[in-house]
Amino acid sequence: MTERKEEMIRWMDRNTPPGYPWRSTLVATVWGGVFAFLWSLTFFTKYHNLYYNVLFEWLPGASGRRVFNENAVMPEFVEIADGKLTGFVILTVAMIGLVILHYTYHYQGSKSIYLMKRLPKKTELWRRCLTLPVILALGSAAVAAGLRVLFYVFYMTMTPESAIPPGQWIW
Amino acid sequence: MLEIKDVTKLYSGRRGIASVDLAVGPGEIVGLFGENGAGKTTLLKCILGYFKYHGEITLDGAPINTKNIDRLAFATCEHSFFPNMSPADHKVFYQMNFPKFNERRFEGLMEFFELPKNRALKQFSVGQQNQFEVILALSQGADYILMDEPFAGNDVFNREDFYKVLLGILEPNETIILSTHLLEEVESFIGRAVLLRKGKIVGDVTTDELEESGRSLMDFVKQTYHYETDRVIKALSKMTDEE
Repeated sequence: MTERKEEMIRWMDRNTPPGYPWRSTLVATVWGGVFAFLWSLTFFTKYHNLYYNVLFEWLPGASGRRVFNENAVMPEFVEIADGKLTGFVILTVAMIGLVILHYTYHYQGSKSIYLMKRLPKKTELWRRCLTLPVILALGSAAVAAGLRVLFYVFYMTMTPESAIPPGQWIW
Repeated sequence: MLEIKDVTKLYSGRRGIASVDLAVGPGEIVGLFGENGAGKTTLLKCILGYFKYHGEITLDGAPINTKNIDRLAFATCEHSFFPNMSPADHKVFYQMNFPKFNERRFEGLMEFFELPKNRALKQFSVGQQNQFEVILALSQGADYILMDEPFAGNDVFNREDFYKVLLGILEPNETIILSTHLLEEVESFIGRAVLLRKGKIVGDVTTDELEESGRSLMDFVKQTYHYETDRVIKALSKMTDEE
């Protein structure tokens, strides 16, 4: 085991309820993050479909060729991006559930809550219940924000200037 | 000195304990007795601050808070350890959180009771879990060790061993408050008996006083509770219509 991995394990042990099986939480969160990320990528397929269906029109006849319509306007950015980050929103909100899970863990198999409540460090119980969920929620929100910026930059650079509706902003 | 002054705890209007006054000094071994629901556990949990209550509980004159809570330890039959963790992990956790943790006592008791150090506690028998719960309470380095039915599920030999070990290892300033139903077993171990009934203290006597009066602890409890020795016969007679 590398030193870095050992350090990470120690950090997790120190910042989750004592004995809590944080590995399964982490695996579930990573999978949730992967699905949220994959779902967010449907922004590009939606954009791609709209780009060709809205900005181009078929030439009459059966030539099978399309030409750029200079008068066409793309749907607004927020409309295309709508719902694409839902996975991350769910993941962030799910962290409230993780806090509850961490707290109720102290009632499972024993009443370790009695020990946690009489520790000289008053904040220890809540520190261990909150640290991981808060970090994961912030991480999820940060990735979502980053993707939103990426989508916006993509939209603004890939869409021909004449086809960008006026007053576009990130939200 | 642990002082409990006029402490009342209500459970949604119902009384848990009522106007309890009690003072326990350093080095005392106090047995807390009473029927189920008498308020023994409630009193201990009020001392530890798990319940809100009316009245005042102080430790050497200061209210119990984060500054002095480490002077109290608690062993409960509900168990307060982490079932997924091993005794070795608990030792590390206690050392991190309780600066006065007594490692020597911990190791000694672990060895005496032959408990595995690196197996998760959820894999222990209930008897072993009880033993470990008490070991933690005794090793925390606390001045006042509160125990709530700590030996429920342990066999009589095991309990006997524990009383002997306890008497052998306790420092003169260490105080034990032991809530239990095992009157006869702890009679020779305790120095004082406090009797609760319907949330009130109805008896408080030292074992020396009992000895002087020629009464056993059981006699004292029965007298204080006004126990009718013929109540079983009366009840059976009624149920079987016998004259």
